[in-house]
Amino acid sequence: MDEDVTQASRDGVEGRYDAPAHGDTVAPTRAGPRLMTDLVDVQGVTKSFGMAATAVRALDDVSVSIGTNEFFTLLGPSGCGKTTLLRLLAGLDHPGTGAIRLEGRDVASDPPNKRPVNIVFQSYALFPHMSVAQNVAFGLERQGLRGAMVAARVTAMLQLVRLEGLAARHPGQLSGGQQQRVALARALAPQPKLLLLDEPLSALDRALRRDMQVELKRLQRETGITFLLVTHDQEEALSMSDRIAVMDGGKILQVGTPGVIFERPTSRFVAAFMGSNVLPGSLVGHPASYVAMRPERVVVATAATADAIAGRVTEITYLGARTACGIALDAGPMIKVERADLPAGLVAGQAVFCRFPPEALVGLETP
Amino acid sequence: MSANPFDWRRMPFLRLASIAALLFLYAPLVVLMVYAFNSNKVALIWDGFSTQWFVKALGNTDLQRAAINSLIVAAVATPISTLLALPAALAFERGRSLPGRAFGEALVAMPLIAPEIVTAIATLVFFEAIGLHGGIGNVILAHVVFCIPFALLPIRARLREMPRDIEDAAHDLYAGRWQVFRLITLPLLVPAIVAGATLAFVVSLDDFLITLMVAPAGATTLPVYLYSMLRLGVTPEANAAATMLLLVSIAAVVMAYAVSPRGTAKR
Repeated sequence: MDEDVTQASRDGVEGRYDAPAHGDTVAPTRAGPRLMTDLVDVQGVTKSFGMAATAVRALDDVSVSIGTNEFFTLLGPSGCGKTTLLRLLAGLDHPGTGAIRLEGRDVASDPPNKRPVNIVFQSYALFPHMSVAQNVAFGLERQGLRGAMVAARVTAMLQLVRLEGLAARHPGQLSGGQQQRVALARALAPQPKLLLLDEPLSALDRALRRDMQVELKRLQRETGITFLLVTHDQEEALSMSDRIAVMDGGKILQVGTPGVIFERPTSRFVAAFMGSNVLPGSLVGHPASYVAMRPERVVVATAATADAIAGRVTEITYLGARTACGIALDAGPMIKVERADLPAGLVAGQAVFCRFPPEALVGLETP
Repeated sequence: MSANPFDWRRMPFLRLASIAALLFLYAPLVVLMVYAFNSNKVALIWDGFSTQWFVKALGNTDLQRAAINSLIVAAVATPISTLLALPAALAFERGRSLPGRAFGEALVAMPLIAPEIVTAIATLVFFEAIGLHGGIGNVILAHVVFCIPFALLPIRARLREMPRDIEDAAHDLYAGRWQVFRLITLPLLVPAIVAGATLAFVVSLDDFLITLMVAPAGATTLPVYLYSMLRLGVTPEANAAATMLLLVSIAAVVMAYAVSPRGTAKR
């Protein structure tokens, strides 16, 4: 089956084009060239849990650098090691091997209370026996601030997250979205160098999540603090990040701007995880045995053309702005297509012809 | 909820079964209390309403002595056992998993499962073997040991349901280990500690077998004294004394219920 497909994509696509598709178009990036000094530098960090014989390797030789004032995202499925890396940065766990540098200083063995790093927990982890104001003041008071200094900073923080009126409430009296904002205010109040956000939006409903995405971007802009977000939600990562690191199986597979991660994946995992079609095939001038193709870039027609590949519609789903369409290629594999301009009146079972624009084909390096 | 294939709350006769179960549990206590107001000298022959047995019980110096002993033992054993249970609960729920921890947990829970008569005899033999003759001190020591697992239960349960994230968050917000305990863990454990102490208090107050074995003359507690009264025939005076003991226990439980985590905000 695989052999057939390889043949098909060679015949159907690549034979006609001489120039390698990879690298000849620059994916749009939202963060232009900028001068960044590294705030966080993780070098060769490995972390295992459990006893030696049955140990699970949660992080496997991970290295990554995060710049000052960057909005950086660790993206991956559950169990990929992203939360472990976040806990290592916070100091709640310590790495087995490797170095974690913060502004050049190795902090790998420092406890959490000795690092200028604060977390917003997935569960918010507010102190239930304290008021909103006391929660926000907690970190400030532990740092030795007192009295009017603390009060002024708490007020400013509650203003920043738009909770001015709720200072005297207790966490149990707040909605999920409000608790989220308190957790943010509490973590931002001590002005950390690095703010860690562990799936902060996963407990919120869809509409609120959208609002909070915008809100988080605004907070990052206004505070100038480096944000490190951990999420399994591709859309969230794409819409908020300056750069994304995609993780799987305890390794970082690719680091890049949202545009690069989305349009130019380098591995089958990243391509599939970001929703691309992954097909066996190769490109001229590129050592790939698989290629990625965005579902938005596949051109579907009902009439055959010279460079089109025949297939059959298996299902069709109306999504509003676009229509999603599953197509079984005659050569074997299934592909997804998502476009606003699909031929009118497509029905399941209908024969169609797909064209893969060469500039949209991406060769994948790793198996 | 209505789509559940089986909902035990909708079983027929549930109300009836509940009433029968409650009756089975509490009818003997009601009978005991009613006959405490019997004017007849023989406890089970009703002769008319009277509070004379309460007056008599309150005037009985031996009974007073036994009641005071009971209160002393419970009042000393309760704080000691609770103070020992608190670090044990923290070690079991928050500590690192050391080898032999499961064995240690089983050991602490032993008084809950070992037949009390075995513990009672073992304690007696042990005290004799090491020649410990501390009077009421012996009773207190024995009570501390079997009260620990009861004090431990609610504290451990609370720690288990309390998300670690809360303590991690405090540690992350520049609180040292001790500050995390003092400012976060301990205040959140207070209701559970009160509940544990109440359990220990009630268990100590009610204990019969172990106290019977280890209490020397003069250190007899109320349950043991009541038992000795019954051997001379059941008089309503014993009923009256038992009723008062029951009221102290109920008061303790009600107090614990009032401060239980039920009332405070969750998490």
